[in-house]
Amino acid sequence: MKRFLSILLALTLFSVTASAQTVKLSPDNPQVLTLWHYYNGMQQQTFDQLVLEFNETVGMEKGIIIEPMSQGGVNDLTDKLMDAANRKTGADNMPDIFAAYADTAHAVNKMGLVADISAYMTEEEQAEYMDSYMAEGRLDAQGGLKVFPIAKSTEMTLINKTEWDAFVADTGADINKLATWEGVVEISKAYYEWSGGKAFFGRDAFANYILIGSLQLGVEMFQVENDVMTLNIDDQVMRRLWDNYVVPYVNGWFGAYGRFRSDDVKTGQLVALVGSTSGALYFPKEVTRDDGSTYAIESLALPLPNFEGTSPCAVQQGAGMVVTKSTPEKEYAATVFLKWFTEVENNIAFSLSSGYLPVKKAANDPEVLHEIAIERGVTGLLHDIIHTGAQITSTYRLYTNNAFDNGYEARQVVDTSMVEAAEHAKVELALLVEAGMAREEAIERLTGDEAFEAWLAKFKADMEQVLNN
Amino acid sequence: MMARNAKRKRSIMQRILLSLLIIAVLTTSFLVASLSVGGAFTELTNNALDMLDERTQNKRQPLQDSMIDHWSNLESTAETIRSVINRHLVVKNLDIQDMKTDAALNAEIVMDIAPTLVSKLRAGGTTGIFVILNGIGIADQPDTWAGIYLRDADPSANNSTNSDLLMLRGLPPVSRELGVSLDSYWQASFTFTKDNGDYFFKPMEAVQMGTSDDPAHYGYWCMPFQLDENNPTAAMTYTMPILDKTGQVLGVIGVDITTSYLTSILNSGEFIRTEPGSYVLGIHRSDEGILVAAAAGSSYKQYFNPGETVLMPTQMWDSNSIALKGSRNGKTMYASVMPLQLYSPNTAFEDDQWVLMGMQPEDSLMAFSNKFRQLLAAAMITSMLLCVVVALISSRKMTKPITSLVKQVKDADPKTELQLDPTNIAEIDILAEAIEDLHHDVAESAERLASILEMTGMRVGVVEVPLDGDKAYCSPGFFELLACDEIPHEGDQISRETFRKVMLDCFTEAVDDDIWRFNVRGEELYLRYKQVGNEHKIVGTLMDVTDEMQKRMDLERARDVDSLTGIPNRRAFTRITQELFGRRRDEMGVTAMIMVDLDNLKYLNSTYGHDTGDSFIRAFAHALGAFEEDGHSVVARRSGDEFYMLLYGYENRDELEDHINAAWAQVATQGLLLPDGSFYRFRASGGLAWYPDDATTLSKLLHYADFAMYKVKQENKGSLARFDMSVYTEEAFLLNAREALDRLIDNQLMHYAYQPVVEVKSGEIWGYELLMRPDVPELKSPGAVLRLAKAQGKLHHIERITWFCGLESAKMNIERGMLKKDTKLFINSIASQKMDLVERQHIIDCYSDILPSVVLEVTESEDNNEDFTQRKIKFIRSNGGMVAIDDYGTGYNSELALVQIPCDIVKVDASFVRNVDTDINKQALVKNLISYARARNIAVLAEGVETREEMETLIGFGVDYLQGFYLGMPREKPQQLLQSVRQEVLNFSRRQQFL
Repeated sequence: MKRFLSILLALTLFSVTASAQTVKLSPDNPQVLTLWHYYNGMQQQTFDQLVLEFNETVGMEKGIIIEPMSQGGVNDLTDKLMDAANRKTGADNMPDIFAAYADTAHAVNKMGLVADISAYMTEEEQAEYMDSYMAEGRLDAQGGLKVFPIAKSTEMTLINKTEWDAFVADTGADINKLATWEGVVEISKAYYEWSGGKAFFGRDAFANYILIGSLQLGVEMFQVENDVMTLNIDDQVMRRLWDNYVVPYVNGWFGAYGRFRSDDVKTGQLVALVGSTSGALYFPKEVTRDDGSTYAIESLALPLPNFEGTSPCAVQQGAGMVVTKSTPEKEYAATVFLKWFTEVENNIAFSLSSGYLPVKKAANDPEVLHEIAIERGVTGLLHDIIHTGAQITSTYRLYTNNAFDNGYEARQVVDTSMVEAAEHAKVELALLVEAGMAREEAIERLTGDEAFEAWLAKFKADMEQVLNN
Repeated sequence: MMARNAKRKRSIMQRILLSLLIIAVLTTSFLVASLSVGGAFTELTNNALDMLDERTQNKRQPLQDSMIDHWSNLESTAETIRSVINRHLVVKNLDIQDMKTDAALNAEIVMDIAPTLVSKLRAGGTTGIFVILNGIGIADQPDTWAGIYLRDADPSANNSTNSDLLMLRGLPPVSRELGVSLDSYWQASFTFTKDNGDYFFKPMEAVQMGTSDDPAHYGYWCMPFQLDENNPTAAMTYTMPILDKTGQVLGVIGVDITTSYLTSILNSGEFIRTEPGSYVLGIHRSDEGILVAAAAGSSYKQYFNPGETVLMPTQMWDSNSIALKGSRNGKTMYASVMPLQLYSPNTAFEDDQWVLMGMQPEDSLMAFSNKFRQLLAAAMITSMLLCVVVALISSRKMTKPITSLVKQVKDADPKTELQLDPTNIAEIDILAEAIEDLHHDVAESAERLASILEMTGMRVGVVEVPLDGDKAYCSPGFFELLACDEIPHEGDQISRETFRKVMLDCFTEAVDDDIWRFNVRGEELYLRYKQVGNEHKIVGTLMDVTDEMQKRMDLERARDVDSLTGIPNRRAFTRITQELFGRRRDEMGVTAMIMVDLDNLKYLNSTYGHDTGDSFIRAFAHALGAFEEDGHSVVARRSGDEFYMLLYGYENRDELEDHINAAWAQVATQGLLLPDGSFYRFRASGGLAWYPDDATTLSKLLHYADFAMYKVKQENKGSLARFDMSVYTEEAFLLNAREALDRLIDNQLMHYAYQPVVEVKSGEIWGYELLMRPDVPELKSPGAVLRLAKAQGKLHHIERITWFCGLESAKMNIERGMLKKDTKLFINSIASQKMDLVERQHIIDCYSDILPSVVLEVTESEDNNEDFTQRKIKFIRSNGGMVAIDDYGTGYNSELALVQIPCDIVKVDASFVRNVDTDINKQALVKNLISYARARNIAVLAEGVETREEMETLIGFGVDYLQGFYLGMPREKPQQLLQSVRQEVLNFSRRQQFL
C-alpha cells in the first residue's frame, strides 16, 4: 500500500514537471463551468453550437459541462466582470471562464484572480499557437499564460458598392485613393459635393485610428516595457490625425449617426466604413430607408487605409479567454475545453461563420484559409473578408499594445476624446452659421490651430488624470 | 339445500387460505414496521419529495413575483402609449382605422413612444420590450406592422447611454434618435408567420372574444420563440393589448425574457450547485406533459437532450410530484411541479398552467429510501411464501370432512329422511343435525302451504322444472287453470317435453308482459304466468287474473271518452292520431286536420246558464257526427267548446273537400232548442290543414289548423278556413324580424323618398312628403317597421331616426341643390312618442335652417299621448314650422282631432279621395271639410290623388294642395313636376276662379 502511494506520488510529480498537469474528473459528477462571452447573433450561434458539441462529446466523456452566457457586448461584459471581481454588492459570482481583452485581463490578474493556463499545457502545445497571440497573453514579466487566444480579428474597409459604382460612373473617382487616409478624405469631399451634402465615410473603434495611426507615423503612444508604460504624445502626429478626421467630420464629409457605422450603412446614411473583420459579417445586403422601404446593395471589402508615405499597419484584436483561479479540477476542465475549441477544424469552423481569424499557426495560413473557404462554399462578402483579411495579416504589421495599469481607462480616453471634440465642433458649426458667420470661416475657427491646441491640451490632461489615478 | 349450495361464492378452503394470508401480510408488515425506525419508512420518500417541493417553492416564489409584479407590470406604460396615440389621432383629426394605412402616422407615434419604452426596459428587469401598433409598418406593404422592439441582453447592467441596447424592429430614425444600435437581424417593421405570430395575435384575438375592458386580463405569456427564422435568440414574451377608451385594439405592448437570461435566473442557488438539481420553467398540460420554456442545471443536461420541448411524466406521485424518464440516459428523475399563478381566474389564457419544476435524479433523491424498500420487499416475499405453504396444508385438512358432508346433502332424496355421517368436528356435526331437522321441517311446511292455498280458493298453479332432469313438477292447480285434463301426468310430475308442448300450445295470446289470454270453454280467461330461475331450475307460477283484467279494461275505455259528450276526448284523440302518424301512416292517404270552436257559447252560458251551455256543446258534438265516416275519421272534444276532427284515408283532396263542405253546411243548419222555445243555431269557426300538402307531422298539422282557426276567429267568424302558408309566413316573419329591426335601428338602415305636394294656386311644388324606406330586406314596408317597432316597444327609436335621418336627408339635398330651402318638408311623426330635451336641442343645433320648412304630420291613434303631441307641436311652431293632421277621416283622425289639435293643414285621407269624382257621399264630406277649414284658416290637402278626374273634382271643391301618384310618385331624389300636369292644375285652378 505504501509502495503504491509512493508510485502514485511520483507519477503526479513527474506529470507536473515534465508535461502538462492533468486532473482526474468524474463523468458522473461533472464539473459545470460558466463561461461569459460577448458574442452576439451569428457568432453566438456558432459559439453556442460548438460548446454544445463539446458538452455532448468530450465533455460528456470526461465530465465537463460548459454553460456559455452572452453578456451582450464587450463593455457590458467588462463592467459586469469588474463588479464580480470587486465583489460589489449584488454582483454575480466570477465566471469560471471569461472573454477579455488584455487590459481587462491585466486588471483582474492584478487582483490575483487569474489561473495560469501554461500549467495545463505542454511546451509543444503552446508552440502550436501564433507567437504574437501567445505573447499578448503572457501578462506578467515572470511569464505564465493568463489569456488563452481563441479568435482574433483586424480592421478593413467595407463599401456599399452599389452606391460607389453610381458615384464612380458620374465622377470617375479612383478606388485606389481609398488606400490612404488622405485619399479617403479627398473622396469623401468629392462624394459630399456629388451627393448634395451626404457623408461618405465613418468609423468605429476610434482608439484604433489614433493608436495605429500614431504608431504608423512613428510614435507608439502606449509603450510598455517590463510592466512600465511610457506615454508618448507627439503634437505633429496628433495634428495629422486631427486633420484627417476632425476636419472632414466637421465639414460633413465623414459622419456618425446611429450607434454603429454599420447601422449607418444599413440605413443609407454612409457609403463606406472601417470596422473589424468580425463585424464585417453584419455588413448589410440591403439598405433600409427611413420609411422602412429597402433596396438591395452589393458590397466590397478593401484593406485598411494607411497614412501617405508610411508602411502598412493594422490592429490585432479580439479578446482571449481567461480562466478564473479556482480548483485544479475546474482549471483543468477549462483548459480541456479551450484546447478543444482551438483545434484547427473547430477553430476554422468558428472563423468562417464569425469573421474572426483562427489562432493556430496551422490554421492561420491565408492560402489554407482561402482554400477551406472555397471548399466550404463560402462566397460573396464572407469570402471577400477572408481574402482581404489574409491580405492584411500577410502584408501589414499587426499591432496591439501590451497591457498596463489603467490601460482600459486610458484607451477609453483615446477612444472618445477626439470624437467628442469633432462632434462638439459640428454642433458649434451649426450655431455659428446660424449666427451669421461664413461656413468656411466657422470651420477654420473650429478646426484650425487654436482649436487643435485647445483639444490637445485637454487630451493630455485627461490622459494624465486617468494614468495617475 | 341445493339452492343454498349453489349460492356459495368462495370455498371454505379459499376463505381459510385468505384469512391466513391476511394474517401473514399483517405479520410481515408488523415485522417490517418493527424493522423500520418508528415507522419512518413511508415518510422517507415523502420527506425526500417534500424537500424537493420546498426547494422548488423557494425558487418559485421570487420567480412568480418577478413575472407578475415586475416583468408584466405594463399597465401604466400602456396607458402612456394609449394617450400618445390618442393625441396623435386627435391632433391630426384621424381615426384608428387610419393607422391601417397611414405608415407615416405610425412612424411618428413610434418615435414618440420610444423613450418611454427605453425607460420601461431599464426599470422592468426584462431583456426586451416591444410595442406593435395595430397598423401598417411600411407604406404600401400591407403585411407589415409598425412598432419597435428593443433588446437588452443584460438587464442587470444599466448604462447611462443606450449603448447596451439593440433595436430588433423599428424604423432607422428611431435608432438614431435613441442612439441604439441595430441588431444584426434588425428589420424595419414587424412581419409575422404562422409560427411566430402568437405573441401578437393571441391577445388581440382574446380582446375580440372577451368582455373585460381591463387590458391586463388579456395579457399573454408566450412560450419562447425566435423572432424570425434566422435569429437564433429565443425568448419568451408577455404581451398585453393596448386598448382605446372604446375597447378597440390600438396595438400590443410586450416584454421578452431571452431563454439564456431565463436560464441564468434559474441557474442559481445551492440546489443547482450542490444537489445536482435542475429547474424547468414551462407550461403543464395534463394530456401533453410539460412544455419546456427554459431549463437549467447540470443534472437536466445529463438526463435530457438540449432540444427537448416536451417532458412526459411517467408517474404521478402526488398532486405536485412526478417522475420523468431521462431521454438521454433512460434514468428516472423526480420533479416537484409548482404552478405559477400568472393569470387571474376567468381570463383568456388561464388554461395555460405555467409551472416551475424542481428536478432531482432518483439516484440522489431516493438513494436512502430505495435501499430500505429493497430490504423490506425481500422480507415480505419470504414470509408470504412461508404463510402460503402453511395455509395450504392446514386449510386442506380442515375442508375435507366438510366437502364429504356437502356431497351427502346434495345426493339426499327429499322424500326420505336425511341421515348424515358424523365428521367428528363438533361445530360441523351440530350443523349437520340442524340440516337434518331443517330437511324434515321443509317437507312438512310444503305440504301445509299446498293445503292452505287450496283452502283460500285462489286459483294458483306452480310448476318447477329442474334443468338437469327430464321431469317437471306441477301443483294440481296448474292443470286445473289450464283446463287440460287430458295432459298426461303422473301425480304432480309430467315429462319436460310434455310441459314444453303444453306451454307452446296454450300460451298463444299475450296481453301484457306476463298476462296471457285464453279461451276456455267459450269463456275469456286471463292468466298471469311468472317464472324465476337460476342455473339449476326454473320455478313458474300461474295465477288467474281475469277479474283484475276486466276491471282494468273498463277503466281504460272510460278514460278515452269525454264524459259530457260521449265522444272521444283529447287523450283518445292524441293516442289515435299518434298511432296514425306512427305505424298506421300508410292508411292516411289524404287527410284533413280540422279544429272547430263554437263562436257563441259564452253568450249562451251567460244568458241561459251553464246547463244550457253544456247541452249546446253536447248537441254540437252530436252534430259533428256529420263529418264521421267509418274508418276514416276521429272526432274528439279538445276542451270547453273546442273540437278536433281528423278525416283520413281519402283518395284525393276534392273528394274530402266535398265531404267536409257538405258536413259543414249540414252542421250549420242544426242547433239547439232553447228553454225559452227559440231555436239557436250552431255557429262555429274552424281551421283546416291538409296532410300531406300543408304538413306531414302531427304537431305541425295541429299548429297550422290552430293557426287557421285563430285567423278566422280574428277576421271571419263562423266559417271554416283553410290554412294559408303565405299568411302564416308573414305572421311568423313579423315575430321573427326582431333582429332585422334592431339592425335597422342600430345602423339607421333607412332612407327617405320624396313625394311632391303641389300648390293648386301656383301649380308649383310646394313641398315634399318624406316617406320612410327601410333598407333591410326583411322589412319591406314602413308599415311593417312601425308594427314591429310598436310590438317591441321601440317606436321611440323610429321616431328619433325619422327626425334625424329625414332632416339630414333634406339637408343634404339642399346642399346639393336638389331641394330649395323654403320647400316644405312633411315629416310623419309618431304621436305616441316624445322627443326629449337633448334631442330637441340637437335638432335645433343641426337643422335650425330648415326647421321653418318642416310640416309636422300628426296622426291620432288610440295610444296617443296628448302631452307629447302638444309639446312637439309647440316645438315645431316655435321654430317656424307648421302642423298638419294626417289621414283625416279615418279611424281616430276625425272632427274631434281637428278641434283639439291646433293645425295649419288638414290632409284628407286617400280613401276619401278615391273615386271622389263619382261618389256623392265622399264629395259631401270633402266639401264640408273645406268649408269648415276655410272658416278656421286651415288649408286642405288631398292625399292619394291618382286620376285626372279626381284632381279636377278636388280643385273644383277648392282644395289647396294635392298629393298623389297622379302628381308625382315618391322618388329617392326630389323630382320636378311634369310640365303637362302643372298645366292641368293651373287650368283647373283658373277655371275655378271663374265660377
